[in-house]
Amino acid sequence: MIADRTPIARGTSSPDPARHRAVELDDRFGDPWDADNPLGYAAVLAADERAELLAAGEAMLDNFRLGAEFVPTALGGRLSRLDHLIEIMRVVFRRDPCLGLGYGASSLIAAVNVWTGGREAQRRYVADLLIAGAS
Amino acid sequence: VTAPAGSATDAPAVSPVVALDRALAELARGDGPFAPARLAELDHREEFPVAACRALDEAGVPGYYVPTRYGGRLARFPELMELWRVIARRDLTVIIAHGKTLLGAIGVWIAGRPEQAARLGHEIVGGAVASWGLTERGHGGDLLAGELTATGTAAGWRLDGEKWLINNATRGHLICVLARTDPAGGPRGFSLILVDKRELAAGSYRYLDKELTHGIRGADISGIAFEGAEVPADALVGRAGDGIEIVLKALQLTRTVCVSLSLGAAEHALTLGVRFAVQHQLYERRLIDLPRARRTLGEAASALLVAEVVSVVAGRSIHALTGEMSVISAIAKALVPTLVEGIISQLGELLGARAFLTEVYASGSFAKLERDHRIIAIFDGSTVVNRNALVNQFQGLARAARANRCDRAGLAMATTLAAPLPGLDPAQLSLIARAGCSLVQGLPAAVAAIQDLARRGAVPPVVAELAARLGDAATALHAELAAAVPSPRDVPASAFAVAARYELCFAGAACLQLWLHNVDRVAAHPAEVGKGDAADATAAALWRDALWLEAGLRHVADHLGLEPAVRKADVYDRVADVVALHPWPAAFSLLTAISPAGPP
Repeated sequence: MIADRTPIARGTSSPDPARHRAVELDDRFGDPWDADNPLGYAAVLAADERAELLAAGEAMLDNFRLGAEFVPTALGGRLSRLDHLIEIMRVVFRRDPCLGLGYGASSLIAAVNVWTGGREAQRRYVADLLIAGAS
Repeated sequence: VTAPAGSATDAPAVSPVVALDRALAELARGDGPFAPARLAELDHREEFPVAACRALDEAGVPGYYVPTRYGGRLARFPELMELWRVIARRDLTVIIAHGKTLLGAIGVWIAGRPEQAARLGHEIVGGAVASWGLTERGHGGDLLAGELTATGTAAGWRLDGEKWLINNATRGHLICVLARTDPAGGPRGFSLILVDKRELAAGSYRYLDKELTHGIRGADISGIAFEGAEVPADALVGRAGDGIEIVLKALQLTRTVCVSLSLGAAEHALTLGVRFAVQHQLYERRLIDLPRARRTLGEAASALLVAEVVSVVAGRSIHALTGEMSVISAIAKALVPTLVEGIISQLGELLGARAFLTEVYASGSFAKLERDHRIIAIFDGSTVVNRNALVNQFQGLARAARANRCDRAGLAMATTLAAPLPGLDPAQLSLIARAGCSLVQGLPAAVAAIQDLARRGAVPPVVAELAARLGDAATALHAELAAAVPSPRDVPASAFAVAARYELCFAGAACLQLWLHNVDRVAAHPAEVGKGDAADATAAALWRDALWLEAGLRHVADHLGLEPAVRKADVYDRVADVVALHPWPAAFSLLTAISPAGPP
């Protein structure tokens, strides 16, 4: 249980907002070994057995506004450094790779095309969608 | 029981193996019990493959679980292994569920009283399912820690305790249980008891739920708990206190037979890989025409041939080198499933998404076989357990090598495919291989023989070079064995790596011996190969220019980390050429090129 959380430094003195968000996200996921936790491993496996994306996980990530992590700060999002994004996504993948891919990574993969090659209006449109929580 | 087609009036008579293969092909059509889509659906629902097992019953397969002297058809273990391989090529869950009856009965074949064995044989031929209760919750492979007790009563034995993770514990009619009969335990503190569940008093036993599993999802992996279950005195198998010894001897047979399951899975995987590589278009070419894909197929097929050689030699050794089976079974059970895991992994890479999708390609049977196969390296003694068993004999193996011991007659019989095998004499099974391992100890002579053939131009020079490197590696390895400090409890991790290298030397030696003892049989009948069955053409191509031998030795050298002077890996590409032309899903095997015993 401890090992599951160790990669994230929990010092309160860290001024790093991305680290702070990773810690917050991990807290929102709760105790992975708690059988009653709707975001715990038991719930993750049960969703897998039903061939479903973990609905409670999607709701939590909506609430956390994970989509904003994929949007550059210039467009109003929270993406300034890829290593910070990796740190945050690592938290999701550590809990459930299915959720990490199904909810998060595929939005990012789609959006980067627009960040790199889209017109301004397209970028604005996709940024607003992701910040609003569409995945 | 319906007799297999092999014994029917077909002319010319086909072997039971070919007959079963044809029957299974029919049963795989449409909505038949072996149809991949139907098996996938059962797997998805975690349902036992009832119809497929019934079809095997109707094909007479249970007869091969019973020795001929007890009313069955089991005369030679290699034939049973071929049958299992053919079934495993279709579906591992089915054969693991069905084949368990052999494991449940084998203790009785080894140590039971004749009338006890005859009665059990009659039951099994008639369709009874037997199970083998060895493991318990919390003990796993540590049989001496077993807590289920059998206490002597006026009328027989009373059983208390549970067995867990038992294949067919719930579905079986009989279960052969390893029970503690001396509270102090120890090697003589356990006995084997054949429990007929149908005769137990109601309430004296209950089942432990089927456990959900990652692979073989439909199999009945459950448990049984006895509470004051009374069985008659004649339920005892062998003598009281002999349980561990009987089980360890039985495992020498079952571990060997089980490698045929891996072999079938590897063939299934290769079939799926090649079919995809032929159909799939990439960059305006077929996948199979891309050099990287071709190399992968050639490597996988070469590993399969090594696995086949080890399997057939180990299977024949049950009859020909019976006293060495404690070593040979451990080698085979550690090596073959490991080889096949590598094959599956390589082919999975080739298949890409098709290995991951559970419906799109071949009803997802690749992903299923990958999951199902995981159990082979775990059950009936895991790879680690088998390597540990080999490590325990390092000193004896080193001594036997130093003394140049080699049972040449047994070795020739084990590796000459046309040589008739004697029936198994269970009394020859031994917990320790006093003569060591004739295959590995016979390496120097085999290397010399190959070098002689190379000098005469009968095999390519590279084969002699690879053989020489293997011989050197074995010599160095024997020195390592001798230097290993015996430590029955805290076995050093490095010893397991040495064991793995010993297995590879065994594999290389088996390749050499199989070549030396059979090539004349192939060459003597050149007119027969290549005509008739198309699979024969494959085998003929593999024997030509010692192709399979070079590929097998190359595989062994690569995995031993040897650096032969000639480092060309193109032999794998030449094997791939054969693979590409092979009429899949026909059996991919070296053995079909060998003329059977007797006049052709």
